[in-house]
Amino acid sequence: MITIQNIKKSYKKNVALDDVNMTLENKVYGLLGPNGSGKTTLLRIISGLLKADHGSIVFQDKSIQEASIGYLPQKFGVFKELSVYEQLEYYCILKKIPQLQRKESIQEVLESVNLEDMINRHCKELSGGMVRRLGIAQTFLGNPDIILLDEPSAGLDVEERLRFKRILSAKDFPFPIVISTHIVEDVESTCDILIVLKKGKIIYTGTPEDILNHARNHVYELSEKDYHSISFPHYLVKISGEKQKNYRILCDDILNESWKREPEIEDGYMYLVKGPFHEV
Amino acid sequence: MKYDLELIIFDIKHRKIIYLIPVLFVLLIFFPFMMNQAENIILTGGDPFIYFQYFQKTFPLLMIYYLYLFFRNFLDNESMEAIHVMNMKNKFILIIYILCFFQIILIPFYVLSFIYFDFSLVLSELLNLNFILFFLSSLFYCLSYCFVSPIVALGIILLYCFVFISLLPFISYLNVFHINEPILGMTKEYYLKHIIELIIIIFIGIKRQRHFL
Repeated sequence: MITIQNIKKSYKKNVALDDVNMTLENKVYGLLGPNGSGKTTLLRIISGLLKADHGSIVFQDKSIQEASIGYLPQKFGVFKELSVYEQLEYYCILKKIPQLQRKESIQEVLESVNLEDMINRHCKELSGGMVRRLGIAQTFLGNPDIILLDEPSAGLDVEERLRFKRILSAKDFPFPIVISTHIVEDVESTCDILIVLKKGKIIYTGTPEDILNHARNHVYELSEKDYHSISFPHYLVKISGEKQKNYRILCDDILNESWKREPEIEDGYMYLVKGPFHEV
Repeated sequence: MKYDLELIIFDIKHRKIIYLIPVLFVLLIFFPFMMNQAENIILTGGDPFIYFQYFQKTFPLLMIYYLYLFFRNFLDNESMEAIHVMNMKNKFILIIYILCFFQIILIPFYVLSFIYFDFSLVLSELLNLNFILFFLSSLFYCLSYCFVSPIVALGIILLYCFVFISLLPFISYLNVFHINEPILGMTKEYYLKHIIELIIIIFIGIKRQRHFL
């Protein structure tokens, strides 16, 4: 269990994190928030890359520095001259994995990201998606105590994204996994708990099912003509349909009952981040 | 220690050519040249310190080249954040191990020097050469983490060497080289001054490495 207490971090006058508290158990956490909400800063502080201005992170009554952390940053590259196996072997040395265990560990993590066929390929032959998967694989090396994935699906195509979701849904992990993203789709089916950050503060912690309740009675779908006639404050979630376009909006005004829709997770998240819409 | 040495060996093993080219240059071109220099000094009765000047002009640059090759794995690639999280241990110890590895290249020159020149002179010169190597390596480590770029550190060290070897060899402040000064005439002041500088450089380097991003 990892306990994060009263974490504060500022960059000069900009507050990146403001009194963040949370407890991470052996579950998959989705850290959601718009760009600049403090997600990456929080992951960097947990990983030890950044020092918090205030607060503490405790791993099983010890400092987080004693924990083994698997971390995938937003940018992840490979040594192009090495093979996939050699690349992971290099990480094994860094993570101090004994030589006898390395081959087995590497095969295991490559299987978990479906890259086992690429084991002897040169890293320069890998596609962007494969490099990203290799990045995810390295986080699983060496029995980590926590895994932190910062925008893991960035740059992945639809198929790769589905594959990534399958990896995380495949089994119960004996450690917490934190996935930071601004794409709700990435976390809705894979995460046990969602944490929403807004301007450095946690504004929601709960299950993906509960988050949609925040948007209940606030989701409407309007035709193009109706949409252009409204003037009250709202947030346009998406436009669907090809010939007849439907405008899915979030608002606080009560509209025609026939326009009302059941909320989805994305609606709940967007209402938390963008709402409320009535003038204060 | 085991894993640190493994890291160095892994890097040499997988980047053989870029590590070996300078060794070939040193052994096939520089070593015969130095042998010739040593023979000339003995035949003409010249001052041996001219011979040892070449050491100061060559080996520190070679050492920094190897450090650059090795430290770019940690700092000069897209995965540097992930690599840093994998192993946050103090990387300064690696400088010492690389310096130990570097002695392999120096061994033929140690032998050559002891054959041609006085034992105490050679010993003083070689100890001083290793002090210079350690000083510049520590400076490289410190600059690499201060600028989060080993290439910038390499550039600054090259500039340092160029300025103090070629342009301003007489300036003693911060100058670790002693191009125009015979080793036996050097004072304790030289070592004391540079040891204090070294402590400051290593302290800043280690402090920067902890949170260099």
